Amino acid sequence: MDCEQALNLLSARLDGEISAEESVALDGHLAGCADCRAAGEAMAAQHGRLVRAFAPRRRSAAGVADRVVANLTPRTRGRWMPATLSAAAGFLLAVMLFQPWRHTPPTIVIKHDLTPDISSTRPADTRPAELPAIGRLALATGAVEICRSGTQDWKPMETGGTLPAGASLRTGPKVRCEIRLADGSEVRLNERTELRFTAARTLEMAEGQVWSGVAASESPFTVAVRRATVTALGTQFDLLCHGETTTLSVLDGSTRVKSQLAADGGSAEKTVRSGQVLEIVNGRPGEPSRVHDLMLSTRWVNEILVLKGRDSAELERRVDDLAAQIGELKESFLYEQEIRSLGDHCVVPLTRFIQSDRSKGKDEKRHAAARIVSDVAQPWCIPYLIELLTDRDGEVRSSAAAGLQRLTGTNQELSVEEWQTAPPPQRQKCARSWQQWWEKHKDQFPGATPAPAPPAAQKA
Amino acid sequence: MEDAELVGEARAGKSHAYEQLVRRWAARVTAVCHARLGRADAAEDLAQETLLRGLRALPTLADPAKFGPWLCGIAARACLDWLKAGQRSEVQLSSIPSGNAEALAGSDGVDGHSDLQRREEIDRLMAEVERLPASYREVLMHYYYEDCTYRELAGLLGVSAATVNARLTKARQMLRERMGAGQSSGGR
Repeated sequence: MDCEQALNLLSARLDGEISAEESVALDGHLAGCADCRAAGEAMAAQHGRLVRAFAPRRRSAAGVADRVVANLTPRTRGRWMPATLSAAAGFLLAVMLFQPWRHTPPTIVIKHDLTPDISSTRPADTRPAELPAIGRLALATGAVEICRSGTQDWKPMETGGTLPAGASLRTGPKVRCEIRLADGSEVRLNERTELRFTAARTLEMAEGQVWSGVAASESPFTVAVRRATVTALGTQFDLLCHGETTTLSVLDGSTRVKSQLAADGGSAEKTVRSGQVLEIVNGRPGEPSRVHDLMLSTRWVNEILVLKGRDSAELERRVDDLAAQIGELKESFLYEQEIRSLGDHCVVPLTRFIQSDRSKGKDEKRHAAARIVSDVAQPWCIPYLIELLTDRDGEVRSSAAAGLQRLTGTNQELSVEEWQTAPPPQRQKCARSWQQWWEKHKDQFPGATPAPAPPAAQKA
Repeated sequence: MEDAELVGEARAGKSHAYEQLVRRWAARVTAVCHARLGRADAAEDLAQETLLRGLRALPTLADPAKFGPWLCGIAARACLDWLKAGQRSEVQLSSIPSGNAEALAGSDGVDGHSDLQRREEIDRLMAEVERLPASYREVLMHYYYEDCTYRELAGLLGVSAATVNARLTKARQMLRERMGAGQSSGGR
């Protein structure tokens, strides 16, 4: 192989167009040619600069598309599309209050003739006032910026603000946010993420990490990453893009990954199912593999779920799944750590976990959950601790009593240790005392809300 | 859905079909215009006009499967008309707007002096891209405007994938030489 051939292969390698045999041959040449090695490094560095230089041009091209689409005016207006949305199992329902959508495909009519006066460089202003909204910024842990289609300016976006088609959003360090789309889908951006919302269910990811909870619909939900497209119909998945590598994790449902590269012996399309992870390197999908720590790898969304309040059903499910992993794997301490990092937001989900059939017969998990509740509970959690005093397991009762003693400075006739061994009648009497104490003193604890009735299971 | 199907639906009056075609081809059409004109601003205007002309001319498209190359042909002719109408044909420095600050994403951004240097480098790089010989400029712009594969580029340009590879390599080499000392192997 001569140097000219090597340079061509270096270029092809950069573009993901090199075969395995060519790669081996190239490496053989590079091992003995310092000039080509230096040229390869220079080419890679320049490639990065070119990608950055063309980023605004790509956005401008997308703006061109938006302006053209906005000028395709329908001849007829159809029926309103219902504002209520269906949600796949395990998702939060979102009732969106947006302007109605046309339901019947209209006939295409070009709004006006845009043939340019060739003596001028710019036609009359054809930019639309505003493209239709496809979602809104529902939650954010810090400042989120928006760049609207057809512009180059990034501006702060207020929480609750609407998101027009074609706009891009980005987050800075330590900022996470959630977008609710018109179809009920939820899209969450991790820190340092940039994402373009091309259309209602079409996203384009530049860099960062995005979690999507996709509402079921007939039209596909697609996310374009570098040289590949991820498609889902109704699912939860996470995408992490860094440089040439995209990691897809599917938490629920399934997704389809399609490469944009020519098939050169590798498979261009892969299906990734719940509990699986797949890496896409420069547009080439690898093989899906099963993983057990999806809750940990997507724990960044917990910060957003915490913003939704103590009664977040999704947070409860995540804590449930984390608690179920305690004691299952060598790294189960990581799951316990993750739950503890939620602070008192984990108290309700863990209490329900202890009381449900899901933890039946799994004493180690129940004990661990009770210890966490005892350690992180805040005053508003007192009613939940009182509930746990009636558990059939002495360790659970004892942990609950320890939490109550910490929060109130009292123990109502039974010490923490005695809750393990005292006979049932004595325990029942003491539990009633605690309930009476709470009714008498709860006004001293602002923010406390009465505990809803627990499921009828696991009572002493 | 493939282009041919979308063309069929668009001809049947379904606006969403042509919308999809527009979004699919906007970047490549803009790349054609930018490469032909050497100017980003005029390129966007002509790309927009091309996409609308494409809709009007859809009934004349003989092979719906070749929508993309056909549309790029319209773009090329629009650029030629524009150039013949008396606009400058020489490549000019593109005035990268302040939005090119986005090209610095990932940089430290804290040191204002570094940001300025990087912005100037990006501006100079784009100017050199616009000064490349036409065949190299065209393939490089197509590649960086959208993540095209060699096969897709070959289909668009009417050459082989090997030729695409060779032209991209040559374009990159010329850029490195023209950028000179500022293009260090490990620098950003």
